[in-house]
Amino acid sequence: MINDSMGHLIGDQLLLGVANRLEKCLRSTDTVARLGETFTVARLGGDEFTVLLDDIKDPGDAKRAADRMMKALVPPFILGGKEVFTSVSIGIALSTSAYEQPEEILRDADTAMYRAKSMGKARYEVFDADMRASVMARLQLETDLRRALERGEFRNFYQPIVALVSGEIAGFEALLRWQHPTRGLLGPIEFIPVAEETGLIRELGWWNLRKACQPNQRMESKFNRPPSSDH
Amino acid sequence: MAGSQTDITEGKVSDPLTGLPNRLLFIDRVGRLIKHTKRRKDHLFAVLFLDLMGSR
Repeated sequence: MINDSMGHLIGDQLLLGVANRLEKCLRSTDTVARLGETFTVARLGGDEFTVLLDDIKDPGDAKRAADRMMKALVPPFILGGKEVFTSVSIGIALSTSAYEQPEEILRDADTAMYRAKSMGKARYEVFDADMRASVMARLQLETDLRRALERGEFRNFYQPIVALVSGEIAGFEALLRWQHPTRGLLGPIEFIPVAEETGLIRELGWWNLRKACQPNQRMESKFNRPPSSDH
Repeated sequence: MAGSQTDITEGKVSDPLTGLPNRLLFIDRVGRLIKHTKRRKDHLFAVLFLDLMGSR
């Protein structure tokens, strides 16, 4: 948050300055690019702005507008006697007949913005079929993950830890895998990040720990060995 | 650009700091355009989402 990082007074001035530059650069007619008939610059709150470009002739118009806004924000703002630099990540979503609700196109523009942000600052990305596919895949994964816990699709694999000095088994690592009904056996990289973001990691972690304790107990009594480490 | 709203009053639809339209008004305008685009298939519009980062 800009206001958190530079103080409310400077932060507010910066947001005001940005708002002015954005409107001004879209209004200016001294460029070859023809923009939409009408545009709306809005502030959603925090550091988030949105722009609605109406009646554009092709996606290029939206890209040119994004370029223009990024360029407009390059020169530093002089605030409180200091130079303040800012940059912007922009996501673009184009209207299609698939959109029924305004929130949907806003969400897609937001997704594209996150993609732009993850690829480095001061750039734009256009929401496309690939992004739609990854959004859908992510939603599917969330659904599958919830179901997997209910259905008990997780497995622990035990890997012995051998003490080099004695050559004896000192314990076991419990490695979590997901026996996915259609995708096969999945490693943690496939599902742990989503589990963490959705909070399902807590339940999953407890399952992993509880499950690991059962064979641990069996092996302990069988081999008379201390408890395993758990991963 | 603000000021074309008819059914919602100014105070509720503008961002107090910048005076720009707020989320409510923006969503309202996008909603109208979506309806319009359903009737006119050749009509194209774009929504741009901007996230700002500052440093000094």
